[in-house]
Amino acid sequence: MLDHSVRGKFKEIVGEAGLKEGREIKGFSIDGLVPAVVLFPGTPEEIERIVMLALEEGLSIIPWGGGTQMGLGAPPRHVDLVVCLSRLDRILDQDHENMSFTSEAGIRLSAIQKALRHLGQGFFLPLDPPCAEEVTLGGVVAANASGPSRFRHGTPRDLILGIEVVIPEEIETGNKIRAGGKTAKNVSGYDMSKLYIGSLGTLAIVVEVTCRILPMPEDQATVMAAFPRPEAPWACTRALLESQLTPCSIELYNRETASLLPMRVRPSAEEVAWAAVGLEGFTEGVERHIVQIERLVRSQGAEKIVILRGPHEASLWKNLGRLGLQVRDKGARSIGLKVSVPLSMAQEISKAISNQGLKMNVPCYQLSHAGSGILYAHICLSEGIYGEKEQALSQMVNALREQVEDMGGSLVIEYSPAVFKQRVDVWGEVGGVFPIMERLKREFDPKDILSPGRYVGGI
Amino acid sequence: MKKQGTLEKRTARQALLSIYDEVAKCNKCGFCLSTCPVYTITGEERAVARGHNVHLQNLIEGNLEMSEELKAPLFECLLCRACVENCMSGVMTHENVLRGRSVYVEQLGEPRVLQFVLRKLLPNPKKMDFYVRLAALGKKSRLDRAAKALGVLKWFGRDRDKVLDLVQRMPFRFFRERVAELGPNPQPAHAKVAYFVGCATNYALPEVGFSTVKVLRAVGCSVQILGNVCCGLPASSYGDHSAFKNLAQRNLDIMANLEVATIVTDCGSCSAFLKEYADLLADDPEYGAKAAAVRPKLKALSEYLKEIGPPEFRGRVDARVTYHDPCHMSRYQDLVNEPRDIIRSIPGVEYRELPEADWCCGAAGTYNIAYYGQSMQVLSRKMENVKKTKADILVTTCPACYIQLAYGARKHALRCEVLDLADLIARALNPPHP
Amino acid sequence: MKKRELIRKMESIVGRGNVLHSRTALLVYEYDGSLQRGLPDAVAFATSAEQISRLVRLANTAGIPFLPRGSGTNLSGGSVPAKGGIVIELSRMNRILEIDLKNQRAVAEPGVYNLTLQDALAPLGYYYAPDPASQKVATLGGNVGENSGGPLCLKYGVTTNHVLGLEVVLPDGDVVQTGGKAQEYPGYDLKGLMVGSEGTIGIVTKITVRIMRSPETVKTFLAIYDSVEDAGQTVSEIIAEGIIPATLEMMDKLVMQAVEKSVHAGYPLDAEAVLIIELDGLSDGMDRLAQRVIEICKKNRVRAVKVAATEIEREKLWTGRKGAFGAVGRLAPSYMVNDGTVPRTQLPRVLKKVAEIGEKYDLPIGNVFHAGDGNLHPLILFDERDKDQLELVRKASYEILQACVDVGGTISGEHGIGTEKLQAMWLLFGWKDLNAMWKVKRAFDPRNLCNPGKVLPEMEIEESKTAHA
Repeated sequence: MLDHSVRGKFKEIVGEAGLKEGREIKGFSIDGLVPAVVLFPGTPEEIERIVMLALEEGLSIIPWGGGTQMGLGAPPRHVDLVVCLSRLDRILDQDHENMSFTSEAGIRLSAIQKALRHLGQGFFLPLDPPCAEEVTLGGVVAANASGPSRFRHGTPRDLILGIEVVIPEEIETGNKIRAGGKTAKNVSGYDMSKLYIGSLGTLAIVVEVTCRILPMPEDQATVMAAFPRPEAPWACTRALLESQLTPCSIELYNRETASLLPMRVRPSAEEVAWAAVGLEGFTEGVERHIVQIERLVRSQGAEKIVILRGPHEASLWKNLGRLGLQVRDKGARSIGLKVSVPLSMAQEISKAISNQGLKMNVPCYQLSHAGSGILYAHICLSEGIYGEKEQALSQMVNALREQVEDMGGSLVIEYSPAVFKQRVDVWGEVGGVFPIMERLKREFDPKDILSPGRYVGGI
Repeated sequence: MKKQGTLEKRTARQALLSIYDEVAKCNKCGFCLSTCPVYTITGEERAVARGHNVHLQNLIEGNLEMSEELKAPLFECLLCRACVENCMSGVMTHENVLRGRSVYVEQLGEPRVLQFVLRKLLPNPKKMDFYVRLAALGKKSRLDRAAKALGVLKWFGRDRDKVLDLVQRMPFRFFRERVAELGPNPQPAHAKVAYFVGCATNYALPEVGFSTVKVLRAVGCSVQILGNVCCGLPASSYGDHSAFKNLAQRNLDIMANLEVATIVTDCGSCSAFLKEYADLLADDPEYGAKAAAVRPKLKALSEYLKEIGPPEFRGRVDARVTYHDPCHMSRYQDLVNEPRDIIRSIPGVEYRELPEADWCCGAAGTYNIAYYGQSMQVLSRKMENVKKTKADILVTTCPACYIQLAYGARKHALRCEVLDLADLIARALNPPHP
Repeated sequence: MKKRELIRKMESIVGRGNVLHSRTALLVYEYDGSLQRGLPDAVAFATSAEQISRLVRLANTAGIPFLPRGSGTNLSGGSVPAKGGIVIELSRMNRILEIDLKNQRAVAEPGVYNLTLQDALAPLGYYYAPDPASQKVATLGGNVGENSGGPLCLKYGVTTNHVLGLEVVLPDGDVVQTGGKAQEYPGYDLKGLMVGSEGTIGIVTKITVRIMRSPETVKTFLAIYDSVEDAGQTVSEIIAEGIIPATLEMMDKLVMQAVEKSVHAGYPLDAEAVLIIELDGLSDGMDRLAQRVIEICKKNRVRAVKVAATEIEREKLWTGRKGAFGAVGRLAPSYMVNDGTVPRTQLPRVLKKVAEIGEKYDLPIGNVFHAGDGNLHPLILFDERDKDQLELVRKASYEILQACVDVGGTISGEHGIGTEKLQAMWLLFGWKDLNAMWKVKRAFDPRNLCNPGKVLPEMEIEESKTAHA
């Protein structure tokens, strides 16, 4: 509960409408913990003042964007305030001639894409993380979220040109600091953006972001194929990687995942493994890709091959992006894992996950950015099943993590019931660099008020 | 004997002032680093063009005095000119280094033994013969006494024993002593040429001398063997300008009054250096003029053959052949295609281009004696490249390179035969005896 | 610790003969590719992370600074000690450790020349995208330190987008791993901080990079212009049309003349500017793309467009462009190269300002740069032996950087801050922005022994009221 006078001070900063509490904020829970109040600042200056006040009063803050990835991270040690950036959604600069775009961090990705479509001859932000409708730019940055097109375009660390953040420090001249700029190349000083990106609200609150935008491609299409053998799409992936073709994304998923996608015909029993290869570029290039990829997947036994364009194509990608949400809808105690391994190891891990799922008799929805060595496994669990299998599940995740780390990769729990996070470390091994991370945290947030306890090693 | 140049400080600075602008041209971009065979091995700035120019600039600007510490930086350069070739600013670093060396010698003197060789032996063939024969004898019998008398090698220090292996066999009779075996010149002759016989050919590779004469005669020349002394390249390389001048003057006296249109040499180093006489003696009214007059006549063997056409090949050489560019041929004289064209024209030859063909072999005259260890490392890289070609024969056009490469082939157990271009041509002149 | 003892201890780590400490020997470590100078106290040649770790620990014990050095081609003073200390020379740590095609990774020691890696990958059908002009001699470690770019970075990104993992000796001597062959690892992106940190927060001892499949087709054009503005306008329009060439480079007359003297690539000596445009990708549609590019050039009054017909022609063009800095040595003994980067559309304006500044100080300025990403390289030509001129050159440079910042640009696109641009950092950042960077520095190097005096200008920290742990 918040002290009355302190609440008053916050109200003074954000205005009457900017402070919510009680029943209105039930949805703003993080691993079961609900804050005393949720603040909705309207400007970066309000955020600066909020943070200064929180420092004075020793209150902890968790920043909030679209709220779709709040499951990421260990349960916070405590949550006094949630600062929701949804009102900070102004576009500040759209410079298509210089291919840069600047906006406040609370803007939804979908709003950015909409605005960019009308810019010049049509532009887009090459970021397609899950739940693109709901996520905010700041949230994407804080979580370093990415999607299938990371294969060609990279992740936020490759796309952010400049950033403004508010740090928990009492500085007379204000605690909003800038890093980077708007030029494509910039080595002036340390690459601070890299620090803030993916820091999950433990070092700073992101308030403004400048990112690289690209002209809309002349043509777009997706080749979708279903295979009778689980190894087949992986062989296709290898062939694609070794070729000189340049697809935009290579996504592999299993039958479970396919069954969640809206399709006119349900996947048949023979269609055990699926691939969706996203293409964009000049018309001739896309055509050539389609021809060659069709040939490739056919050679690996695919019989169902569909070329998607327009709304059907968009629908496929949208639904793949909402896989996690759908699984969590079906099973309130689901567990989501994100695995990152060297490219050639992804197939083995995918198989291991499938086997585990079978062994434990729990449905496991897989989706891989196969060209990047990233795999998502969504294990769908209802309350009862979770309770029954908690022990086995924790063993499974630990065993998988060991296997992944032996391969030189990492396994992170993207979401799970809070109690599960107490049994299994969310993040995994960090190694000998951890002391530096601790020191960075102490430098930026000496009073440990930002998202305390959520990060690696209990940071 | 070794003294700090404190008293001569002004002299050293003044002596180097003439190259101040040239060394200052180096803007330290560093592009020389990856082309320098020595830097490639040691990774030390002092070994590379940029470092040389900086050392010299510091000497000129008075931040540094000439001292023994500059011996290695100045003298471990191969003078291969790879840096110059690749220098975007066109700094003539090899000239800067040579100037530095001569100032070093002026300031700190020269080891007595070296002085002896450059000033007393090289200009005096009979004396030189004596000492070389002693070395040959010493090598053959490994007599301690002979080795001691080989004070020549003392300056070249620790690796003396290995150095004795450099030449596989020291012939007991030198080329000049066997001139009678050549027989008379063919009559009639289309042309008369003079043959400038280099020291290495004379003392270590007389067969190359025989091949050269054979080849020249095969293209219709009557060959006059000159009584020349050392061309002077070692003296110049070691910074002994007065020793060089002495040798050059003797050679010019011999060459100036010849009634030939062409003076040919088989040795790439000699031909390059003889061509530099005119520039090096520009300040000398008498010998400068003689050098300028002689200059147009000077030709390397392959250069001459290109002009008058190759000999008629009645034989063949069925082999895979590759070619190493001596630095003095490729970079100093721009004679790159001439040897290759001849090789390719020999019946039966399958020519294979050597990777990094013009990367120095590490001989650099007598560098392999003075800096044996480094020389061997440079040589290794060359041998690796030779291995890649799987060639049967490795051809070159400089006896110093020849000796180094032959040594390398033995050391690395390559089944490749090393030949001078003259030898290869000679082999193909006639069909083999039945 | 007395110097003699220090040297002795260093020798016991790397071996006698691998430590330089005499003045003569140290004088050739006083410089890099910039105009900055600084004499080290000693130079040690290291060949392993273990040796480097021990050297760093020794430096910590002795309380003296240390810094890494590769080929020393740094253009901002990064390889030159600002406060004396030990230079840890990595030129002998030059092995490519692994080329892992199935994971599309290569692992190399920091002393490997960038071009050596490229040459090892090319026959396998792969390449490493960051291709700085100095790639013949600049090392991968140096590339990491500066977050190097290169002509290809317009389309493919800079070093930080291609480095996946690093083994690092931290400023206290610990040897740690950050990142690896996979793409994501939990925790703060220390690898991302390390790249571009200019050797001030650790010494990199092993680098894991992403390698990419070579493109099917490459088409290289030389577009010749009679005015710099027309060339600049062409650049803007190509990008505005949504075409992202692999490279888009510009050179002006002054530089071209110097370059042509060195490489004879066929650069026109009377043109005001040239663009080198390279398109890459699938051959399908390449012709149409090329046609569009040529049309844009023609629309902007191009005099002629030549297409490189052979690999040799293409290489010659690039040798000329990549050797441009060195080549201007034919015009003047010294140069100061600026590295300001501006939004592309501001190029014509800034180029004009640069010319004005040149006139103001009566200094010839040549331009060669990555037009596609707005990264200028005005080369101010002079003779550094003239100390008065050097002073003017520094003033002119500062004004150029100011002009870049004024149009929304930055002071360094790829050469780094080093010591050269320390004061210029205040053009871009305020006290609190720099303070945040000092936090990073402190977290890695609380004693400030790792290449001190670089990147961040010194400043007071009293302003902050928040207690430090």
